[in-house]
Amino acid sequence: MDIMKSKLMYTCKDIYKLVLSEEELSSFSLVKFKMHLLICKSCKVSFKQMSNLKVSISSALKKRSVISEETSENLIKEIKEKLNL
Amino acid sequence: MLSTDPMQLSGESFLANLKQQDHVTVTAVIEAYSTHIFRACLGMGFAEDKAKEICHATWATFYEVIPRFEGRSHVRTFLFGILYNKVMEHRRASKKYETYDPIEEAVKNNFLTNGHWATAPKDPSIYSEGLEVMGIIEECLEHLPDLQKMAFTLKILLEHDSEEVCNEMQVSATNLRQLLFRGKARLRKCIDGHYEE
Repeated sequence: MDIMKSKLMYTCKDIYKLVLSEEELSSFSLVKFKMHLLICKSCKVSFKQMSNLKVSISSALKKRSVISEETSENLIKEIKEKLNL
Repeated sequence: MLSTDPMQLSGESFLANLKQQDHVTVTAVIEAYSTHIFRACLGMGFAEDKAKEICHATWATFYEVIPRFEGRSHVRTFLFGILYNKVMEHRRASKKYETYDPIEEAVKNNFLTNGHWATAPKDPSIYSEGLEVMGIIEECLEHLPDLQKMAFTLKILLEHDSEEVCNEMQVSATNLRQLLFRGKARLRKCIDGHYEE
């Protein structure tokens, strides 16, 4: 995304790409990013969408991967047995 | 007994003991990371039995290859690299990073040629954790390509940093950003699709 660094101003499409890819921004790029969000209502909405989506993805993955302490202990025991430890 | 604190599972003496398959050292690694490995498999959408099978296979390979572990990365990165290979073997999925993904065409259509939005984005609340939304997101997650699912699991569920995820999945930083971008764009499209029906 080096091309992004040389741009004086970001377009809505640039902002969308930066948010979704979790690109780490330099201080100057961050200023350009924040300036755009200040003046663009659609990108502000899209940014909020993606923040919500990230939290929801995390919850969905956590919900799916919950395991009890008992399961965890049994699993460790089984692995040790299989490896003769 | 050796501590299971990740900070303690490093250093020269730890590496030397690990390479010799020292039981106390290997046990400490197993106790530190078995649950993480299992949760990662569940997060990837495997049923409990399959997740357990992959978990066992990962540890068997780990034990077999640790004499060759050179310690250039943290043991956790090494272990999750093995897990990644096992998951891809089970899915019979390609580990090759695809340079083209049709979702990028769909993203293009969201914008005008000057880079502005073609249509205003939908209300952000449809992406937040309501009961109905969670059901939709879970369903949409199922349909993600394996590489994107793996990137989400390592980065969002297990909170590994980007550099570590790149090493575990053997992809460049640019490719990882692309995977996250494509995965989220795909989810967004899938969720929006449910509200258009």
